[in-house]
Amino acid sequence: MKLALAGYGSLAKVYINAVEEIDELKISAVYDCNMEKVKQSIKDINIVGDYCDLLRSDCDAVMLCVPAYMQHDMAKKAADFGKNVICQIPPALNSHDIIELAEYFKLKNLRLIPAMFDRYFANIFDVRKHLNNNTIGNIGVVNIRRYCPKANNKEQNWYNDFDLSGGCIYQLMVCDIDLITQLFGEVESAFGYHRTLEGVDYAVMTLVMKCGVLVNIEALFGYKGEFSKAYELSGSKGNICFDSLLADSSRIIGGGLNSEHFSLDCSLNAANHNPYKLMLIDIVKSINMGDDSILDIDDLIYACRIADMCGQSISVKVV
Amino acid sequence: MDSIKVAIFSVAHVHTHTYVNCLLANNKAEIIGIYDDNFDRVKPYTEKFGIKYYSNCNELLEQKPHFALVCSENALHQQLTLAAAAKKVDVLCEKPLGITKASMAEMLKACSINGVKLMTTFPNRYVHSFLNAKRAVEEGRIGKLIGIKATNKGSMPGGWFVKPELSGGGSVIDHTVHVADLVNWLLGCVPDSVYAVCANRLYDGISVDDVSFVNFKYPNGVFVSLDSSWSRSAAFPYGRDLTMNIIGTEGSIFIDYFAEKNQVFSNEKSKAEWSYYGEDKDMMMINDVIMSYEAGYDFMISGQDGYNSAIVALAAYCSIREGREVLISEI
Repeated sequence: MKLALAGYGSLAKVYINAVEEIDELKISAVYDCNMEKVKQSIKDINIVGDYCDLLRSDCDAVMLCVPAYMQHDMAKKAADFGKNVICQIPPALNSHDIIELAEYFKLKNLRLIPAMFDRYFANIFDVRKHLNNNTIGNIGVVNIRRYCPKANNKEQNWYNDFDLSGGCIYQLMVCDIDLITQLFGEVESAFGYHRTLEGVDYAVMTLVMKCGVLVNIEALFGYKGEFSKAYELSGSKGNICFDSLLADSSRIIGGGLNSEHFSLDCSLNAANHNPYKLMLIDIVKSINMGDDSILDIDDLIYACRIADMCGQSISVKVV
Repeated sequence: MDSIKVAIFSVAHVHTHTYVNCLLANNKAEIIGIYDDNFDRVKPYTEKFGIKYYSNCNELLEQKPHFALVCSENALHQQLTLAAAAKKVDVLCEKPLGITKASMAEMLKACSINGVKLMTTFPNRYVHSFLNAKRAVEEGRIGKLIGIKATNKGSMPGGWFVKPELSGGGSVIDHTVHVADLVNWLLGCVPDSVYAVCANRLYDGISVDDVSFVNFKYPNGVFVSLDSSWSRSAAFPYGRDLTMNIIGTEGSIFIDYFAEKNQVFSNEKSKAEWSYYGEDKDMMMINDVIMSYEAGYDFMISGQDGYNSAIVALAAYCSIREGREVLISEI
């Protein structure tokens, strides 16, 4: 399968590394408006400076690795060229636009696949194992959070403009809502607070799941510390706790590190477990078999609809 | 000054044992007796410490204590506080102050009319991490406050705590008040709205909530989201928890009260344990109350503070019943 990449930032590099480990997948072309920058980094891959050239190239899917605010229009254009698209979260900045985009792809009988790589992290596999084995019994309450610092390099400045990135709700909370719905099913009711003040974007949401589990989700953008994810599941027989800052089996302090991977570098320590690679393998399977249920765009739309209720400060019964 | 005489009103609450030990360790304090309607549960105190037992609280009040330490079931706080106030005896009352708005209002009124002091036991206000956080917030070190995520989880206490007619509810009323008081104190105001959810998910055979989230918002826009569940399993290394993450525009403050611990792994135990070595907040609170009589200053925490935090828990139950965000003014 041939994958064309649009945008060559830090995320694209992560995907290129992952693709190298997958026999049945190869990067057919890379588009970036700054071709020279790309040429300095990668060899042996067709590099184009015009997005339409990428879309005209022979590929099975286009993976968008561009800022959130650019994805909607670029995805549509790819669809116009008859290409399946793998988009990042969020592919648009409100659920209305995401729904419209999904419909656009469905009408053209093409796939729009959200890159929900959080599902593939080793710690989440481990949680699933314990839930399947009933290790901690009947789950009663879950706390989950994601704290992210401001981007501090030019390339990623768009993250700091919440009108362009979607802020903490669309960049962070949606991912955790998806994880929760993957683990516990549909949401019965939702309530949330959301405030943005002087470049800090903070939201907290309380969900009651249809299965009865209570969930509290925190998302913070503009955190002054380093990126972290944490959760605690409490059941009738025990607790499961995770904090990404305590789960690094190797850390480099100093050593000239920059913050390029500010939002990508956690939970990658599990040996031979690359979540991006596992997600891409599923995507290959999904496209080859025409299986829409793997990384279903409707799952993302559902998570966004729940997220939209945050900030309304009212209890909303979810139908 | 002569010793400060303390009357213990009931030993029903699990904190009584700690308070008694704190009072016994303070050479300015004298426990003059324990009133309880159940002698069996007072026996350990009379036998071990030789403290006199009273089956009638008025008889104990005749001994002229400086204050009564009310450690009864929550539902009896009102009755015992009114008895003490009628005899012009100050009251240090276990939290929550009461289980209804009317009962708490009556307690405040009776203490005011009789000119006695009423304090709610909120020892967390004496903890250095919370004092440091309050100072840092007041100095503007984390900028403008946005919101707070807090947890006050614990193990399920059982006994009268799970009998709503005595406790007033489950995890919500047991654990909301500490955090609500700390944030009220931190912000210098009280919340105006509350939204809460709860369920009985973890323990069979109890008729109160064991898991809960209580969300409340202040007039200045600062919001708090609290996990007040009894979700610490028996397998967990420690039975209690109190954390707060205060998010501001210039930074955040993370407080974990029980972080000062050794992790102990012993072949003698079936599980890992946390050995907390941090400060003894109960001792600090009791010592301060005793000192207040010597030095002539007021109690650090008022009955009104107890009211202002308990009303959040009562609003939470109202929100749960009605499935909506409620205003404190509606309660």
